[in-house]
Amino acid sequence: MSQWWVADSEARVLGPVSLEVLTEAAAAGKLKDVRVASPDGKNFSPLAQFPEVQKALQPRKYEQVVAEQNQAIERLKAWVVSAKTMPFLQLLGLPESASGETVRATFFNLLQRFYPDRLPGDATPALRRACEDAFLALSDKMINFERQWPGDKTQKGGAVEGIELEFHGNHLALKLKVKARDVSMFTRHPELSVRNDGLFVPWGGPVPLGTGVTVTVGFQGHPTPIKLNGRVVAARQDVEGLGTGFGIKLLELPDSDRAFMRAYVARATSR
Amino acid sequence: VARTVLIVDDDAFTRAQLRDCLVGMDVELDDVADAEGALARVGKGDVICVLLDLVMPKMSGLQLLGTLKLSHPGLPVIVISGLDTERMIDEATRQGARLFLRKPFHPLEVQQAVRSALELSP
Repeated sequence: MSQWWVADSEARVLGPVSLEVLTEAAAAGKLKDVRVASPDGKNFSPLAQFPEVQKALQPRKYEQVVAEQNQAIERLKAWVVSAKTMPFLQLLGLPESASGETVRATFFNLLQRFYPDRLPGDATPALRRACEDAFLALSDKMINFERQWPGDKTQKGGAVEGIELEFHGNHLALKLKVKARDVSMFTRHPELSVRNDGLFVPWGGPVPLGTGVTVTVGFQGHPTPIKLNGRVVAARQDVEGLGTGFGIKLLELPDSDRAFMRAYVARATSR
Repeated sequence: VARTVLIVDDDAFTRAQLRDCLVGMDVELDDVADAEGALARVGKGDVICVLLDLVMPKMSGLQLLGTLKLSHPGLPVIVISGLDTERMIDEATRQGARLFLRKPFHPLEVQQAVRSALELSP
């Protein structure tokens, strides 16, 4: 496979990468300022001299988008198949000696690749499903690991006002009451905030990563609770001011619920 | 012996941000703006982890990654980039990056990534 270098108007270089990498990055709007290219990383010439690179950087036709998304679906499916049989630590690229904290951090880092809300707006439902399947497959592997990992099971589940947890096997039923003056669980975590279909629940006790969650959220001033589904994808001890708790990534979030929650949080934080 | 985390990014603001993220960890911090500076700095022997941008002048981040993997195979390199497409992450990982963090990053992510990388270093 041929490798290419490209550079922008400030002579900042990317490479060596394949045309496929360039195509995907350009499609995501990440390579808008490419001016020159090089097949060897030393001698750069204007793009016009390299039609294949020029083509990779061009806006794509609808048929191409669909074909690329189908390829992505196949890749995700293949990943899920191999993930199911591969030992978990090998899947994460970690040695047997890795600590629980490292495993959790690496899991979270990898899981972010499968967040359905990271897909472009024109992603087909089939691609979203494939992404979600990969997300769930990785989460399931994590649950199994958490079962084996001795971890810190000594913490006491802290009673937190407005939060009720109930475990049913591998599933967690969570009830939240959100006050209009405190929407911090939707804003405090950098990745798991309402902006990214996530939330971070303050809680003192252990909650295994990967756990499936049904969340019933009652928003103060709103008559009907919202029911949401997701997975526990992050857990934190009390470090760096974030507080102890666990993070949930919401899945299959209806547009109407997403819009409502974002508006509610925006209003609350603007007060 | 000093244990230094080296930040390699051509953007001075990002370098400053990453320094801020890592203040308070039990390591020395240093930063350089290009691959040439990075190779010289790593050559001094006290660098235990590199935070690396992908797009830089003259020598790209991936080229530097490849060079470091040959000269210092055990040195963990964390790529931090806004070029966070699937294939790009795969490519960086295939070429030896320990982790790939997306820009914009959060201090907690950066700290945790460095801690993990250091834990797994030989």
